[in-house]
Amino acid sequence: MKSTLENFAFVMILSLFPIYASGQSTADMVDVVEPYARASLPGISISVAFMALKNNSGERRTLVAAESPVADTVEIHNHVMSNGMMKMRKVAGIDLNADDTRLLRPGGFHVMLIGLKQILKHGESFPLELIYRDGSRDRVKVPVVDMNRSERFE
Amino acid sequence: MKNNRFIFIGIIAVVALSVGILASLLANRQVDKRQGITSIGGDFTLQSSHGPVTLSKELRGKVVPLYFGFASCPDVCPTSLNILATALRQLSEEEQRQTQPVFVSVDPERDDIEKLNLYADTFYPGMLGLTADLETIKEVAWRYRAIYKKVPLEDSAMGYTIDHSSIIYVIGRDGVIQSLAQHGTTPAEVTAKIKAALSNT
Repeated sequence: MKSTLENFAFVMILSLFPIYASGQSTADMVDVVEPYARASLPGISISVAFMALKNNSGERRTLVAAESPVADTVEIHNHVMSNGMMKMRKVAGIDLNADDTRLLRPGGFHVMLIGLKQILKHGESFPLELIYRDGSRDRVKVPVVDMNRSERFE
Repeated sequence: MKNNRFIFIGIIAVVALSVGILASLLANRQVDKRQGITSIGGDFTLQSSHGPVTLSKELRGKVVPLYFGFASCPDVCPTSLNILATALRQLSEEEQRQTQPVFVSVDPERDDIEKLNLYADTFYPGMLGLTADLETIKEVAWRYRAIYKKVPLEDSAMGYTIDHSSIIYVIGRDGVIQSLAQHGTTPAEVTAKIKAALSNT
């Protein structure tokens, strides 16, 4: 059982974080956890990358775009199930709630790699640059995995 | 005393009647459910890279797990085909010989049959990649109640996408649909459905 004073102090300290955090760029405050892209399929010039984005700042941050030298275009898409159909749509961005983790996973949000300039092979990796609303950029290394070998179904 | 007995018999009668009505309702519902499945589907002839494939000819005697999608579908189709492939690998060698998985492309404009063959084979060796002209595909998909809709994506480099239902149809050796695995299914569930179809038909 904490004393009222302790609770008060705790809340006071917590309340300082957004002020501190807002001075940090999103790229500094968001961890990109376990990114991976699916190995390309024969004859298909698109692929998709997944990851978890952990927002360590006390305020909402937004991923607005991505770029990669391996694809002509990189877009952020989402899937929604509606009227019995899976509908894939481009989204303007992905909101990352304060102190929360957003999953980019099969069947949901994902990074679309359109017009692949090279075959994405299992075991290799490529650079992907994530661009946030505040203009900050985070360059991450994305390993390529063959979904037959690695994909989880949860 | 006598009154009490009549009330007791009355209660028994009411309970028995309700149980009877409930049972018949449930039975009817079950019959309807099966009719719902067996009334969809049916024979089809589609094109493969090795020539035409007809369900009632080349695939007769095999259990056919079938999925409608398109090859440039970046996420949903590969996910579903991977679930199907994982399910197939759980079968014994003999069961796998008696099973012929099929991927049907509803996007013949982008998916030629050579490409489809390679595509399907990547997920599971021997999986057939089939398609046909737009009219034939439309007709077959309609009979299987597979819904799809070409949607322009004006803001995207994809050009267009296809909204589509995501269902694995498990067709028995007799060409009749035995069960469906809806989107979000697991490999274990699909394995069980294929095994059931192998032993039922």
